[in-house]
Amino acid sequence: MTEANVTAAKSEAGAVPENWKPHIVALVCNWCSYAGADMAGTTRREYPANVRMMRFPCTGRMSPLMILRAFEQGADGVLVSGCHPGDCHYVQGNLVARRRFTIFRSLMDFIGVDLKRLHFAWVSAAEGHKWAKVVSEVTTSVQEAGPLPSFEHPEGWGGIDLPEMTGSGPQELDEQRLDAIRANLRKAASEVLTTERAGVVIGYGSGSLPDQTHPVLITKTAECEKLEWGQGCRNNLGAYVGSALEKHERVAVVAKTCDLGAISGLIREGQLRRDQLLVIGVQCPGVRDGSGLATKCLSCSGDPHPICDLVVTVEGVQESCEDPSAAALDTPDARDEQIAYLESLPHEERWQYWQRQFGRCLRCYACRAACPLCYCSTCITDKHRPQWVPTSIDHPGNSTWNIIRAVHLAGRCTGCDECARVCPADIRLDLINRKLSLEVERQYGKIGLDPEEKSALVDFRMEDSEEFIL
Amino acid sequence: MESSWKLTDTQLRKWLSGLLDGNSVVAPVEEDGVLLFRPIASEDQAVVKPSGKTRWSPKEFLFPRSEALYRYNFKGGTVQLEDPPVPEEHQVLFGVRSCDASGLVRLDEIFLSGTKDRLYAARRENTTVVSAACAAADVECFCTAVGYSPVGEEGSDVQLVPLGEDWMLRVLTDKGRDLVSDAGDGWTAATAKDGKRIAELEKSVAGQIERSPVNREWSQVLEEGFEHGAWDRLAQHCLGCSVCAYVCPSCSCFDMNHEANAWCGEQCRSWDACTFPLFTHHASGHNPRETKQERYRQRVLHKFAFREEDEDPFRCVGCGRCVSLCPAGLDIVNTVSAAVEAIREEGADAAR
Amino acid sequence: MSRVGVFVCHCGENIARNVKVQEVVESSRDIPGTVVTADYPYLCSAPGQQMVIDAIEEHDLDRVVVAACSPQLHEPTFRAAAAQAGLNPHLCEMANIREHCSWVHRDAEQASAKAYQTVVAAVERVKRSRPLDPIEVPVTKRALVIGAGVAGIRSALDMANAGHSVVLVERQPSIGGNMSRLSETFPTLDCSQCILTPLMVQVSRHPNIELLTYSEIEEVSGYVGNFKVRIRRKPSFVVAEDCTACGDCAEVCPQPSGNEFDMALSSRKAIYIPFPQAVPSVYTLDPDRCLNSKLDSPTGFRVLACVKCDEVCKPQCIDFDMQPEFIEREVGVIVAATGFDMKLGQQAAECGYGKHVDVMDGLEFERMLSASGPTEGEVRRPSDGKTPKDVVFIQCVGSRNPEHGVSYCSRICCMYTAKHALLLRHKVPESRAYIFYMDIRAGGKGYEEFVHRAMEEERVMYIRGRPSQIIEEEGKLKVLGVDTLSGRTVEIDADMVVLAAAMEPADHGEIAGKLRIAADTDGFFKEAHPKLRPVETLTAGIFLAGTAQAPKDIPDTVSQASAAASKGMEMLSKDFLERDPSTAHVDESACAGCFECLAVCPYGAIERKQLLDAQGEVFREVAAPNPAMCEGCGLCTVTCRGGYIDLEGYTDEQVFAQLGALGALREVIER
Repeated sequence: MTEANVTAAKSEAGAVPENWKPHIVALVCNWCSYAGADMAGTTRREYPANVRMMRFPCTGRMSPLMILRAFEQGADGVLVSGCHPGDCHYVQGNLVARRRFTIFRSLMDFIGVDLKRLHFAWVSAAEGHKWAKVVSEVTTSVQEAGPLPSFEHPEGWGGIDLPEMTGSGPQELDEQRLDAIRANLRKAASEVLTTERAGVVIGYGSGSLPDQTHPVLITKTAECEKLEWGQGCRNNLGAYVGSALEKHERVAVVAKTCDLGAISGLIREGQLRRDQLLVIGVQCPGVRDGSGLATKCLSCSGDPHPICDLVVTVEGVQESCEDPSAAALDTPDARDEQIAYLESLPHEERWQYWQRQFGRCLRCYACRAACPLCYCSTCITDKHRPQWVPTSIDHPGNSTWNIIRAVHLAGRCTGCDECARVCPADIRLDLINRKLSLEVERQYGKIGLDPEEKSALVDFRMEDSEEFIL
Repeated sequence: MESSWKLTDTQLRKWLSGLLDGNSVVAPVEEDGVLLFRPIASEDQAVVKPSGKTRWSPKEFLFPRSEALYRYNFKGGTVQLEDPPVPEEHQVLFGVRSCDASGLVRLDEIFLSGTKDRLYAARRENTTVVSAACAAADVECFCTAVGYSPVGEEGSDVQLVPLGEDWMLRVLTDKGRDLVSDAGDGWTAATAKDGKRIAELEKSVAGQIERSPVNREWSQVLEEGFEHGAWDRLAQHCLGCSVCAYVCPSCSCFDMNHEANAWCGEQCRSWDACTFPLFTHHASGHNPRETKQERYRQRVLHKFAFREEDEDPFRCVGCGRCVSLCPAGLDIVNTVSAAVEAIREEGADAAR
Repeated sequence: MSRVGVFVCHCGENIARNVKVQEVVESSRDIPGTVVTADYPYLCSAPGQQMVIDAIEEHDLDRVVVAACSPQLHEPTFRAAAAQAGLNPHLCEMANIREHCSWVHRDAEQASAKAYQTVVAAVERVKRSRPLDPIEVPVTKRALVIGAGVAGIRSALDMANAGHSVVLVERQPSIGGNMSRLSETFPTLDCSQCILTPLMVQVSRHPNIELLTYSEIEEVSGYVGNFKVRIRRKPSFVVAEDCTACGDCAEVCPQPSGNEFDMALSSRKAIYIPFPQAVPSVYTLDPDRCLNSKLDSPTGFRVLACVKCDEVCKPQCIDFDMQPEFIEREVGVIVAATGFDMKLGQQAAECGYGKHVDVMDGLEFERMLSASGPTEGEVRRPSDGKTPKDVVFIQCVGSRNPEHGVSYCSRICCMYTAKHALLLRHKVPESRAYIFYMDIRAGGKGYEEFVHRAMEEERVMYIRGRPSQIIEEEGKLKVLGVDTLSGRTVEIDADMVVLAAAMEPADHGEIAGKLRIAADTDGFFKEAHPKLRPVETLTAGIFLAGTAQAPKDIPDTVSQASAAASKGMEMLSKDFLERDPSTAHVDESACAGCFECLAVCPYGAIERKQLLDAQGEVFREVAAPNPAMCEGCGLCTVTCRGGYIDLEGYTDEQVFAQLGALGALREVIER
């Protein structure tokens, strides 16, 4: 819904109205926290009346979209409460949920939401006293945070100067060496088609504007001459593999190292089998973004990854056959300083930073279209019954979209940055993705190339951290 | 009555500053490295240059990305309807490039013909367009190849023509005249010689555009070759987003959504695009444009064919944004010529 | 459009004191869809419920909201009332305005505003509820009991005696478990074997019990009423039907081994029978001890270095080629009774266990006391075989010690230590028994009296304190400790030390994992509710008995075993089981087959379903939750990024509408 229709006792230009009281929505699990709240009632423990209760079977049923809707509908604070780890009525619901909440919470903080508004607790059926205490603490905390700030363009805000991203990037490849690689690539593609190792080669062809390429799907040997290679080869061709497999049994795809994580993810998530793919890795000069190298290239060597089936370099074409479980991914880190800088600022600064960007979002979904891991037949944002992601192209709706996009990619995204490249509004989607990637890595381990490894957010350990949980 | 003046950049800025009195002024602004139209609070925020387009057109100031058509609530058990207010303050769109101004007229043809769109009409009525002709083409521009011009007057109320460091200001309509009625201090009248510079500018910019013109007869070829198999491969790498439609000055499609909660609700109109898979999806589950090739063909033909009269212009104004911003590097003009070539060579009915 | 009835309860003064019931009733009239509102002092009473029933009939209501106490208390009550009026029970919702409102908020304005908003949320929810019917699942009339100690034996016998078919699986060569190791049982000093053996024989002879010893559970799949179990019968290399248990083979077998039954205090041969009263009474060849290497290799590669047993076996029942046998059984219910082991950890080591051979644990001492044990019932020091005079018993070795052991109390040690001291005094009248204790826990019937008997009649010396050191000195064990009651240090030159070591579950996650039941942090199987459902697990159809669930003594074990059998029979006595219909559903037309839902489901309830085209070819695999196995947690619904999975009873639309109703909006605040 458009902003104007969802009004609460909101502040005008920062002033808190005199009689403002926080409005808090609590999502509680039936077996523990709901019963714990019942016990608080039975034992007549008084607590503030600002909270509204919603019963769920388990914290595992609670999604970030629900928390976001609570805020959209005017809540100033949200409390999520469930069973203590190990006590879940459904064995592991709260353990999977714990990871989800950890990542979601870190994203909300990064976006600039005051964490005084978002709380998580474990309250058991026997802990009536704890329930009362938690609600009182949360109410005080939300009172301190004040009314939920508006989702709107920060008028007159000066902006933030992020530190410059540095790195040397891949070794320079002059025209001669690029020519050699290009020739080898065309040779390799031609060979793949003539020997029928694949029915189609997905690669880059030259585009109409200077330094621009576009994906080409080559089925005839003669057309291999169309294959290009250079700093304009930006697309993650993994986005085309799925549809190519509808027409061909085996597909060859030209891949830069930054493209591989997504391809591996597609295999991990059952969208294609390893034997349906022939991956052609190529020595990469880095891709250009404007006048300089793209950020993701700054800390990359440009060397083709040994996990590829064929490896194309200046010297020639080699067969390669590596065990995927041994494959580590060299994830770029040029952004980490910018993330650290943003995190050092007060959350209000971050809120304005992101609101300004989300305000530009057109909901064109280019980010979704370019991401190989966004393969859902219908996106959550197209779901009408119910309409979790508001259709209005304004700050609240755009914020929800951008948040849920990032959440759905957490633990899966390996930073090909296509989403950020294709965004017509220059929204720093790469920063958001990298932030969550770092959080997943820090808490649960690095995302690798092995398709057999379980994705972090469908896994759990009893010992997962929970310092923020009340 | 004088209609053309020559202004220095300082004088232009002063005029712009004056416009802020009593008008909401929307001008190109740089935000996080992106040039966008935004309402400005002071003239120094505006970026007005002899050339260079904003990232997308200013159409959202006539046709907002989202707007409520009506609202209601359930106070006291009865439904109370509310018409959302139309902004009353007069709006000046300042520094609109010629292609974008033409785009607005293409939108007028949709929203103001037949049943007038009440909200669009109100905004349009309340808007004056100050366009800026172009002294140079961006690398993706091709307005002259599709029958438009860098110095075109269509859709403009006041036209600014860049003359080196200075500007020529030309009043084109009565609405435009209202904007300059209070100004004019120290403005020199433009001469005939200055007027000749306009044609020179057009020629120079046209020279920078390397595209071959799109022939008007091609509309018919495209329509006859609707079923041609070439569309299968021409749209192969389209990803089905809507960047092209949303940055386009003349795209006007929208979707309606009803969003409500227990207390209140609204019917909201938001931008939509024919390139989205669900655009023509029926409630029954049937989708007349099931494949992305069919959707892409539809968009191209809507821009370059489906013209009622022969003299009607292409709906594509040649700004080239779809070409430079397409994530998959699709080029609409190349597509058109490739399709026409295939249809002509192989016959209208040739399958893939 | 729904026709909703809203009924607000006063609950006497419980709600009405702080919530302005009349205002809530009046405001509720305006909620879209509400056609009738009413209030009543006690809605749960007979006339109260009747009012609801009458209103449903009179006003043709298709949805009901009862604003009253917690649904945890009365949801079944009002749902039953709705059913009586012909309304599907799932179309009746409760709004909790007592436990969550009137009982915890004193300000009437705030409480009433909250109550009203809670009612609105309930109305919005119930408008989107769907009529649901319980899911019927057929029941296989057979039970599986895992573990044949006294718990498993009792459970199996109860069910078999009631006429049900039972498969009883035991991993040891003989049934009987730890109880068969005991000499006498407290407090009656019954001979353990004497009371257990008749039950063991009953099991072996029972027509309804299929006894599978020396077998392990390989895999369990399915769900309540319809489990499929794969059992691996380990090769004993002796054909059981032909073995007469004559013992000739063991006589000639050259290879000795520690006798596990005697806690390694005695030895057996590689071919052996665990104890004379073993059931079944057959010999077993231990492949790890037999001189013929690689005996149970599937390729049959082995070197027959020694065939002495085969040479003397008259029935010729030794088969060196025997392979493991896999059998499958379909069962309706499962009882897990896998028992316990002694846990000998850091504290035991500190007491000298493993270092000094005269330091032993309770079970070892038990074997020593047993007439059929390594010393034929005579108490002797393991070091030199002499009869001990001074024996020190230490309680709580490893138990009640969160830092170096387990935090729980092992429950039986106080009693069996008293018993050990008593029996020692009976067998060695001149002996002196000292027991170091922290507390005495003797809560059972006759237990307190038993301990008193040890103290008063047998003059067992109870010392409240813990030993700090045990030092070997000239063949004796010097035990240094403190008596906290007198405050004095104590020094005892003991001949033997017996440790009441902690009890730990014998299963270390293998069975729990295969059954997909929860275990607590100590490894004991988790009961569904510690007070109200102690023999059930959260997985329908799987029950618990004995020390596998928590430390306990024999009376409690046997009680629990019968209770588990009773629960099992509750299901076996039906032809169909009714399951909660709050299950997950997948939109198969949209599912992309990533199966992350399958990865998170705690119950393995999501199956891979192949979609076939018109030619019968598989064109896609999609997720398909099995409604009989789904427990309705909703983990899958959030995991599915596209939102193609929904949970009946807590649908997306319901949650969405509730969130919309619970927001902070103009209308609410201005009300």
